[in-house]
Amino acid sequence: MSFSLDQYLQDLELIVNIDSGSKNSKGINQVADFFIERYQRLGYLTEKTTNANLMAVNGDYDNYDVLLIGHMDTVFPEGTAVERPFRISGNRAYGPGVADMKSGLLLMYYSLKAMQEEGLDRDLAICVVLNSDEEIGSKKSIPLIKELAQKSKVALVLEGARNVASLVLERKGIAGYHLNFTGIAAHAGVEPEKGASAVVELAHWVSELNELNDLAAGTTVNVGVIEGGTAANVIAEQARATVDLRFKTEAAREKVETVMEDLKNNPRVKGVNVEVIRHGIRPAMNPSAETMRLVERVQEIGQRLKLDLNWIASGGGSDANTTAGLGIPTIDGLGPVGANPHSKNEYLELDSVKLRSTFLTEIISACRDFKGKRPE
Amino acid sequence: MINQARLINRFMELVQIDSLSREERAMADRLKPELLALGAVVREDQSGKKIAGNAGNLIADFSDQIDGPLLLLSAHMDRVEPGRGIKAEIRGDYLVSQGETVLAGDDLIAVAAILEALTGLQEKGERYGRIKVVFTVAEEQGLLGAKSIDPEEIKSADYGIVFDLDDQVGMIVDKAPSQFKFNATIIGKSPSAGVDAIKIASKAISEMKLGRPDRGITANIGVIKGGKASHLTADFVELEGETRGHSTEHLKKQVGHIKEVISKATAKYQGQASFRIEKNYPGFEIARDSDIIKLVEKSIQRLDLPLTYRASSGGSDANIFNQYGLPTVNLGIGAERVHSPEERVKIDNMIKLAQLISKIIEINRGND
Repeated sequence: MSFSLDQYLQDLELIVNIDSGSKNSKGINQVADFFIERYQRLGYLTEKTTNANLMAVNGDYDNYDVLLIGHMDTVFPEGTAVERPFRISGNRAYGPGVADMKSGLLLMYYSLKAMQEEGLDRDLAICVVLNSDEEIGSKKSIPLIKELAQKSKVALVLEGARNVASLVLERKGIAGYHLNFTGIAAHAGVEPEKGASAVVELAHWVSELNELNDLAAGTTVNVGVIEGGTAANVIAEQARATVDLRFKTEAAREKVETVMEDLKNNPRVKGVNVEVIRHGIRPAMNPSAETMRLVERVQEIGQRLKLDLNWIASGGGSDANTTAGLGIPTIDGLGPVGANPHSKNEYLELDSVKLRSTFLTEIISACRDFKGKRPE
Repeated sequence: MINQARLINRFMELVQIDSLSREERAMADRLKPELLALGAVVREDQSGKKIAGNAGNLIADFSDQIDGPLLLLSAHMDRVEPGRGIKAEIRGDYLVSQGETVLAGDDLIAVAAILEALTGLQEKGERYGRIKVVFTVAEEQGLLGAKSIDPEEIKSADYGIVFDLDDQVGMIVDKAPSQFKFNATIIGKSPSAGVDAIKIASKAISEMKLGRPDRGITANIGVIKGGKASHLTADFVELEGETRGHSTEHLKKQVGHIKEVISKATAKYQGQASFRIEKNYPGFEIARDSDIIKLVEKSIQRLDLPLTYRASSGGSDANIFNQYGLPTVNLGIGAERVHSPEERVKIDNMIKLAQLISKIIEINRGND
């Protein structure tokens, strides 16, 4: 296969050195423009949406055999690339977003390029979508991803892999909540009976929410940030908490939300009102029967490539949750091997790139005659 | 004679001067020349530097006779938030704040009334006797201004009156509680180890007896803060709280209880906690047959105001002056709903307060 690691690394250096934090529209547009130019070279039809999401399709198709998904944004602020630019040390490449997931974006492109050069993408309708806000929940790109997924037989997501033989089959659903407690302020030393403490009610909620953790069912509820009150001698009028919920089923999520509703309707500290704002949700990625058929195919490919595949269930979310939530057979973690995402120690393992590209190419090819969910 | 219009005007001007705790510069600069014009020797102490504020306490000596007891009159220059850009207006019988701010009647009613009483006496050509006026800074920040005055300055007086009680004119606080402030830091372990500081803190608070947990005792957790991100296990939480009361025994019990529930929750979830407690101010109790009570009682009776006593639930600069050895009471100033945008004062009460101060000065100088 005509895969040049040197070229790949040259391009990787270029795009890793563009800061593209989720709110850095200039940087994200630069990355998008880079890929528009590259995909146009391959003759793909490209479109950039107002949110700087990029679509590229290898022909004028209404439906797709495969939807390839990646994200262009990183978690790093402007200036990170100058501070610690792309570098290679031994078998590893370092730099902001190198594993999560600029190496995956390029793996996608180089694999498609190789497929085209070798004529392997004939009769295959391929759609690429690169979004700009995955690291902050894909709020603006979810509608586009959903629209494209519904036209696709299979969704493949290029998040990084833990090792050359790993793929992600399950991801927990994620929901985020802001809890705003409003009590009644009063002088704590003079007339405490006139007050209603938002801090005490918050503490009650935390204790109750902690009871909902159920490791066997895969439900975790974490109150991660709390803040309330103004001074020791004032009964706190305001308090806030942010909650992160991970769940495997909708029923599990609903159970937690029902408890929140009960707590809200029955405050322990009378006079405290609680506002629950759900600020983001990704459904759980659970393998459907159709996904398992796809898994069987991928399993065969793995055997051919002498990869002893391990299928990972991850607690973290990605755009795969969105497509799987629609019932589209979805596999994630198809990118090259890396580690320590979201940290300055993030790295990519160079020797994984070529093998993972071969693997991806084979999987895309296998989508040609896969009977997916999409109506034929 | 008390001049009602002058009193109201002065009050309305004073509230417009932004004077949050540690930011009393403009207020001090306004009051200093007024005190000088009234014939005082005025000093500003070094408290501003000590407490990282921009102004010190103002100490004004008015003594114009050698004999007789030296009376200290005190009020504070700062106010609480929201306390910037205050505009007062007359609504019916009351003075109120126009906007979303406090009125700063706490404690400018007292400042304006003291100045009006002195102005009235000056106008009539009367002597002041032996008085010392102290306008403190940062009272609202744990009595910081009073705490940083040179105690000798206070002790040089024979007795004192603080005017800083949100109650009717004629109310005397002769007993005030001690207050303990505490803060606790609860440490979890690294997020991966999963010892959740928020869980520990919440468990502890849920178990705490707060509000009025015991006779004459109050307790509160006022501030909580912790955690870095919603998906990470919090590795720290900080709590701030207080407890106050008149009985040392009950207070000790309450502090013990708070410490105990924190350490139990910490042990249960294998975290760590540090707990710091300090006496913010000591309580006091003034004997009914003391000279200061006699002076105040007599003045209230002369004006036919309702004479009432109560034990305070809060601290004031009077706690600190008593700690320095100066028998000091705290008197009602007629303010209502203080520390809130609904704060107000009946104009009539403000006048009564100025009259009372004037009467106290007269009786103190021996003109009974």
